[in-house]
Amino acid sequence: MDAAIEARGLVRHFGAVAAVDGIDLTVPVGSVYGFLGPNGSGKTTTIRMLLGLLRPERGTVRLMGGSPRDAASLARVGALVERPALYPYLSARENLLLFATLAGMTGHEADRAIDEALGVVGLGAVARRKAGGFSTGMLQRLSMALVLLRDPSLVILDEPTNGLDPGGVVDVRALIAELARSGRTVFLSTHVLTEVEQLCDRVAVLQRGRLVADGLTRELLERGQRLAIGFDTHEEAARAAAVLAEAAIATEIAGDDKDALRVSLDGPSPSAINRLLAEHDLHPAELVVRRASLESVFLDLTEGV
Amino acid sequence: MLSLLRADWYRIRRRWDVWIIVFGIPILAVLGYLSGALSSANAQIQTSGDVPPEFQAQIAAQNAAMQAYYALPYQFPHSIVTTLQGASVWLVLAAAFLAASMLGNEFGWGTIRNVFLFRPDRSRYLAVRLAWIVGLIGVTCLAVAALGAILPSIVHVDPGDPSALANLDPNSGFMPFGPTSPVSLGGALLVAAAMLALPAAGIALAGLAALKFRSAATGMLCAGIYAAAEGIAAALLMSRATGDLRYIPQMALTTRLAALLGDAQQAAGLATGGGESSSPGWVALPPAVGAVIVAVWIGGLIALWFVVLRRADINE
Repeated sequence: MDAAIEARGLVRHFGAVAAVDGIDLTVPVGSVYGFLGPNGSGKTTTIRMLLGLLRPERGTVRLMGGSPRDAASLARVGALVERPALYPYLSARENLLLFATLAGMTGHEADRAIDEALGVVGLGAVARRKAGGFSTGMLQRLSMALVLLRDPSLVILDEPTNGLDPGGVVDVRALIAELARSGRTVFLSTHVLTEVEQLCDRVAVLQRGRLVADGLTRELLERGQRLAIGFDTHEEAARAAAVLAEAAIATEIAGDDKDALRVSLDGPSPSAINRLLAEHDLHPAELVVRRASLESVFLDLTEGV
Repeated sequence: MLSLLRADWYRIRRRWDVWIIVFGIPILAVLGYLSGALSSANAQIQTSGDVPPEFQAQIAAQNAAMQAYYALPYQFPHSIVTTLQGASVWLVLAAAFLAASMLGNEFGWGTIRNVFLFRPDRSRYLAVRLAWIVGLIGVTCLAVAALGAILPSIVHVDPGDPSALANLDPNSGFMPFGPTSPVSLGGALLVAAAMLALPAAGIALAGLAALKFRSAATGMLCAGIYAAAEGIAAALLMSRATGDLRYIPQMALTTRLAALLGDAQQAAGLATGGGESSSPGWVALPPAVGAVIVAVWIGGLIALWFVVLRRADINE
């Protein structure tokens, strides 16, 4: 099994709206996969279909090599979907005991798994308090404990840092990094782009139910790289723009004095551009490759669609 | 299956509403029984002033008959039916509430999602949940019936001279109409069994509505509205339908439940006229056919639980 998640041609409508419109996803085993998209782009619907909670109208899902409605496949998955969902009248420990029992654990095995999970999320001291009295952040931590309870090979997290204070956010990020280091596959859906940039080696971007990008995070960031070319005068910049346009290289005039150009690095390399300009007796005063942030790439991908 | 049962026990044991039902309804049944038993002892024709001697003997005979008559429900095994009848409204409400809350709250809290992530077999989950609901209401009914069997030995209602029942004169204006002979144990158990159909119907209806509308409160409300609307519609149809159409309102759940109870009471000698109604347009069905219709209704509603949940998208 090479893919922890494999989805082909997923389609799901809500009324006339296509929430998910023909998504193909392959999440390799051992990867940390970022799943990005604006609100309402279909991320949570996709996750619910991956987990067998929603039926796709079309398409197939393989989760850990099996069907998402197969108990054996789900036994290897820990998932946190949207808001925490726990029994408010049960204590943190009783909530975990209930789900440990559902997972087939008994006695010492269940106790050990519960203690370990509570310890990891830092709720050991409040284990006997009712979940109904927990803050949003504590509920989110308890939900993370539930995710870890079965020692999953695949962890699916939908906005895991929602409602957490800055300390909690740092803790959850550290936990995700730790999960990745331990060889688990992590599928992380989030709005926090720095989170994806820091943690994920692969990323997919969803917009209006369709994937608009899917690949290595490094490659996606490279796609967004720009070459900034500075000239001494704006006349030189204008001539350079004309030369590059002839060579079918799109440019953008920049700078307060219109004496600079911005060139996307999707095509020719910086050295090739410099050579071309030199052939036309144009000598830039400055040539800088500007690395794109995931935020700018994300906005480029989602605003244009 | 065992782990599902155990997990449900962890859910249920901390729910105070469940224990209020299981312990509270038998307590209410006892209080109702005591209240009825004490007031039955006061059932006498009251006279004021001087009563002519020719009426004194007649009144004394009627009082003896009334004492025997009003003591009947508090003699074993009739007492089993009495306690169950006293608690029947509570039992139906409790059964509907338990079904609606145990199924609907999982959607309200969103926990249904985590349950299915841990145990994706929805039918098995529902079967275990149904077993718990039926078990809890069954235990409560059993406790009420057992109390009904025990109470006559604790709270003795003196029937006086049982042979005085023969002196009952329904035309005297003093006596209620009704059966005047003690019920057999088999008869009492038959009526008790028929009465269990009421909470069973409550469970089936409220459970289905809670699953369909994904809410405990809406489930309860919809089940109540349905029962009331069906009863009214059946009565209306009954009074207007002719020919074979007269059988349609006879098929309604509420109509058949009432008839089932009436049939059982008649078979036990607790009522005359059986499940027949005085409503115009009433068509009598054989009791066995009526019982089968009730069973089909309840079975069908429960089967729909499984269909609804199996097809449900879990958006919670």
